[in-house]
Amino acid sequence: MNSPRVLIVDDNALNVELARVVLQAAGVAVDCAADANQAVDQITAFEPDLILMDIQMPGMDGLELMRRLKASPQNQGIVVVAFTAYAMNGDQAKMREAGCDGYIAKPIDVATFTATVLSFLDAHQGIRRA
Amino acid sequence: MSTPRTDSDVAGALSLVAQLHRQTDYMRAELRHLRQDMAQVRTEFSETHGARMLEANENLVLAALRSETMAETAVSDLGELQCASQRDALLRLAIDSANIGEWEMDLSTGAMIHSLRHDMCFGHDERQLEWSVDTFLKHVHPDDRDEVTQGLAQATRQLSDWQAVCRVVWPDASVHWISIRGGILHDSGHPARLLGIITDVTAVRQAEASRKKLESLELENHQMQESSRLKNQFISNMSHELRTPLNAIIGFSDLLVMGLVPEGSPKHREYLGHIGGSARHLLHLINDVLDMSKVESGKFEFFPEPVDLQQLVSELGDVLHTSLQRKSIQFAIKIDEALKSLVIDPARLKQVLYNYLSNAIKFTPSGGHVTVSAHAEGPDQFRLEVEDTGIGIAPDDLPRLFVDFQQLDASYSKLHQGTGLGLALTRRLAEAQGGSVGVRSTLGLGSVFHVVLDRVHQAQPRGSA
Repeated sequence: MNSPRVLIVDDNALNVELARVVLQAAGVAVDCAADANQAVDQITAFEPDLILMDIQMPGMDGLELMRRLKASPQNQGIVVVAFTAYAMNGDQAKMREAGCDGYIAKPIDVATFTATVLSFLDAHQGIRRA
Repeated sequence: MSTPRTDSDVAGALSLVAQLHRQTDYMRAELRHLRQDMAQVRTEFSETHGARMLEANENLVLAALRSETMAETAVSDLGELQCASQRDALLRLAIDSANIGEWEMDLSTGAMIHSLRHDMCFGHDERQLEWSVDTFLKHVHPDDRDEVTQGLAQATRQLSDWQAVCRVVWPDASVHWISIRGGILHDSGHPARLLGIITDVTAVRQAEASRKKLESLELENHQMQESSRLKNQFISNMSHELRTPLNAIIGFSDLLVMGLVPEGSPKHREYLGHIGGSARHLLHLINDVLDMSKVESGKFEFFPEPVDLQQLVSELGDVLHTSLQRKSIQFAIKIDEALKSLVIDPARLKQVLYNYLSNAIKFTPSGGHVTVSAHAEGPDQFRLEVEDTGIGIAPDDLPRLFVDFQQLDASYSKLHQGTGLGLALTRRLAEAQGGSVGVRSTLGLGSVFHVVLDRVHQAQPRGSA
């Protein structure tokens, strides 16, 4: 089986670096984008299985980018996980309601991060298989 | 021909109405009506005067009719009398239905004639046999008595209308509001009597008070909701801003602890740097929040000392050197040489200036200019300005700039991060030193933020005003 492909969309360079190193150490293929416009290009070029999407970003925010992604048929299969420091009560529900397939709050737990990310992928593929 | 008796009655009615007119809406109309008079049917033109008076939330119409016969001159006594009694009846109906009490005061003796409804306004169910100006004043609430006495004395002296709204104390000690109005009645040329009306307006006053109370409660509620919304938004922002550096601190330390990065490698050092940098950023945030709460609770202490402004600004320029260089921003300092002998808390001044400068750098595109200038303002103050060639601020947004917890861009897509505290803290710091802050800006061209402070800050010992 090919290694899963994850695109990290986040404007904070340290967040990107951390998630990239952790995922790559587990054998995940990783690409990064610093804003929504870059992300659109990377989705076409990199063809990710899953997108780790920061919500607060300059220009177009993560939720808007996700709505656009989900609106186009060829991107329907991509799992979008909200990857955000908005971790107050109700934030997760808000992201899920907006259409995110998963939610990971910052700060991350390095030990379980990769497994959590991949679990969203599995869950999604399970649903599709069923 | 009209008889003197009839004239007098009509004039009396009109006099009362005319007194009301002065305080109320007034209407006048000419009516044409038919009147059966003796055996004849005639056409007459009557002038109708009506006064509308708003009392006890009811529209009361007082009307008096004055017959000005324009078509006919010869009118029988019988007809006039009938007409006058009709007028009286109408007036009586109006007075009764509005619960108006009547009174008459002899200005020379202070003796009063009064109706039962007048007495009821003072809490008496039966007609009072003894009643005079003094009795009246005794019933007036002690706190209102002086004003009422003076008003009545002035009206008596100047022979002018009298009007008062005041509290009266009933025999059962309950307090009620009355509205009283009077006008001078000219008796055969000699002003001798004050003729007036009185109504109990307690219900109106209470309704008005309730309405005002309700309004203020509604406003209070709205303000509380708004303040709660802003605080929630602030906490959400704070949580986001604290978690972001914590993600780097916890995540990179975990990475290093787990041995995922070889010790001594460039990456190892780089990640240690990320941890330190993020921790310092976190400290800065926490300090801002603590300062804010200290200023809010008035516990901020200032330590004024002689300050060399040129040197202080240069030092700040050095601190911000890296950010200035990264965006190739030209930094200039223009301090008026005449501006000397400043005595001010240098740490707080730096804090204010640092907030302005870091904002200016944040919002100025690469290759732009940031200038700090200072000059004397008035005899005792000085003005410090930070000018940038940044993105500028829309006029609608200017009033929100220095408000606690407010960020101009509260959406997820906001370009510039922050806690919404920087400028609010700056304003509080300036105001706590007796100064002020402000901004002028042109969208797309840049902004000028200023602070005006005392040249010699008189630090107030805590607790004094």
